[in-house]
Amino acid sequence: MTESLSERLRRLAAAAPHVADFGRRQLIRDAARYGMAAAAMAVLTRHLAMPAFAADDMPAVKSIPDKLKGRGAVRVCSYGGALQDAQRKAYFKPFEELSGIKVIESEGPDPAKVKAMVDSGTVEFDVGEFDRASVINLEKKGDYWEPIDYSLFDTANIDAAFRYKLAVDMLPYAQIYAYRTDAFGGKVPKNNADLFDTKGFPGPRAMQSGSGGLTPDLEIALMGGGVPADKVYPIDIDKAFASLKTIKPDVVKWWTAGAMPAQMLTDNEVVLATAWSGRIFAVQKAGAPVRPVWQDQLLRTDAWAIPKGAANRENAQKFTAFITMAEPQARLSSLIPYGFVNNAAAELLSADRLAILPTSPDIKKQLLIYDTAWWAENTDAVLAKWNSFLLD
Amino acid sequence: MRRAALAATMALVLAYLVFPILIVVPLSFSSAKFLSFPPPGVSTQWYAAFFGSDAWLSAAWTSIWVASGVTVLAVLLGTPAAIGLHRGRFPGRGVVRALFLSPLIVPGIIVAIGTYFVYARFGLVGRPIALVLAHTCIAVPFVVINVGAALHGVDRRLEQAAQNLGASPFATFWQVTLPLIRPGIFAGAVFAFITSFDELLIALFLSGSTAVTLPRRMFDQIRFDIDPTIAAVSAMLIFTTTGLMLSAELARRRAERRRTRSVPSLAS
Repeated sequence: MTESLSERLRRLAAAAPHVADFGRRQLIRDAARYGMAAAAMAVLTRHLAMPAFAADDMPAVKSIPDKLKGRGAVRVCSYGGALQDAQRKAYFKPFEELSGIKVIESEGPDPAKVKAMVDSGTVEFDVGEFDRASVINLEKKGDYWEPIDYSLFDTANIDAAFRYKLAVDMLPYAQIYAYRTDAFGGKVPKNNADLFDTKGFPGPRAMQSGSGGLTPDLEIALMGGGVPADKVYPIDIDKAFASLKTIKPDVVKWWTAGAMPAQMLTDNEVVLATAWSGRIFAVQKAGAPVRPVWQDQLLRTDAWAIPKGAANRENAQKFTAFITMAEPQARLSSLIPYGFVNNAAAELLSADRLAILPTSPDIKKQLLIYDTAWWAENTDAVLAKWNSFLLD
Repeated sequence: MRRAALAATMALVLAYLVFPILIVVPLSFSSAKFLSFPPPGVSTQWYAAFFGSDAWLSAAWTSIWVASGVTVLAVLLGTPAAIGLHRGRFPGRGVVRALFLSPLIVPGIIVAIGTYFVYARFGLVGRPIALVLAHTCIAVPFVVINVGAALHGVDRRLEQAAQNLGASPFATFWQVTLPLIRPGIFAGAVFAFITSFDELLIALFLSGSTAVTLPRRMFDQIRFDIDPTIAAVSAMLIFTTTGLMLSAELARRRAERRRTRSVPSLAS
């Protein structure tokens, strides 16, 4: 290996996006160089695995406070795909090694499912990743979440804005839209109006669904229909759905999982798709000719919450406290370009990595901040209209 | 000429039926990072990903031992049931037979939802024992049907002859009837195993996050991960199931041969 992985990534990020030329020969050659060497190293050194978790470009977690150690298991539910792969390396494995608590993974956290689980008394996971609006929305309907035990947390470094009584924010990300670089003959879409411009940018699209715990892209719809970014909230629901209706014939898929828009763009099933920014980064790394648009997109933050009556709730509290510590937060940001909520994590990341996170100043100034309070009030109304919108 | 046309039509129909299944195999050897057809190159990375992943191996292991438990339980329950239904003379026999076969007719999702509500009350959701019990309900009919069919071919006079010679009813069953219906039991066991191994609907409800079976994991991964490991798992499942079905078919053929061979002098 003549250059390190991070230098190579930097060089690729700076190069023109002829990633299709990257090609399979190059991929195989790189796979051979990194894969064989890494695989050989991993196999030979497996028995020498040290408690400090360090890998290329990832800060190590050397130790955890005793109050976070325990026994048994914790069942964690996240969104699968590239995000969960990164979380496994950044959070789950170090937590298992250092705390002695086994992590059992599953996918598909859905607030409606949490309600059904708590109501029927069969809670299938102990902690899941939601957005705060869903947590607040469900809180209004009854006692569905466990209060977070902040005595276990690194509260000195986590702003109060991220700490909610029933959930803790920990993953700032951008909801963007991405396009195939080979689709428009050199024309580059720049904002939401372009996403909705079926004449200037023709082709099939994929947008977020309102099913499966997700919410439709109403802000994008409003801005695509001409509303300026500072007038988007409070959202005029009818106007947003009317705008979505104008593009409905071109939407071939209302995606319900993070991996879908990335897969569809890679397969050339769609030329434009709204998506979560880290998933697009993952397919770009794998060589797909895809690029994100940042202007007037959304900055959102995911939170972790514990369903009421979860069997392993003490372990869930410890797990949630662990993943908001500085090192695990920095580890995740170094694997997939999502932000962090622990201020101390910034010191553990390189300047280049900080620059591509959605929270970096250059990107953040283009983004609109998702209004959690509005969605907490209005999710039910939106989802009710969503079903009739689909049937129309 | 007509034979050639018939053969050609047959080949086309077979291809139409089998192609969607076989297409998975080249996909599983793809060197691309995402599902794409045609695959750009050959690689066994997805098989390596399956065998290197704790989650996949644990799901496969759960599926295997749940299916084994179901097979044993279904055979133990289904064989006497089949004998009772075939030989017994009691009022309501038709109704009982229909009830035994009803899991085959009732839509799977209804069975799944019903078992979920009942098992949730007992706190069994997310425990493998729940899967064993629920899958046994849908596997028993297969055993009953196969053993019932095998019983049809057993000549009662053999049993009567055995009892005439002094064997107790149990000894008659054990030494005369059982060897004759053994291929039927084996076929029923294979069907029970495959039914449990491939079952998705009940597993979706009862697996939780701690008793995840292979089909359940594949379903979740298709929604959330979409990578060719699914193709590798599918290819392996296809070969396993095909192997099991072939062995069931061979057993059935052996039973046929045995039956036509066993009573040459009594056939009149």
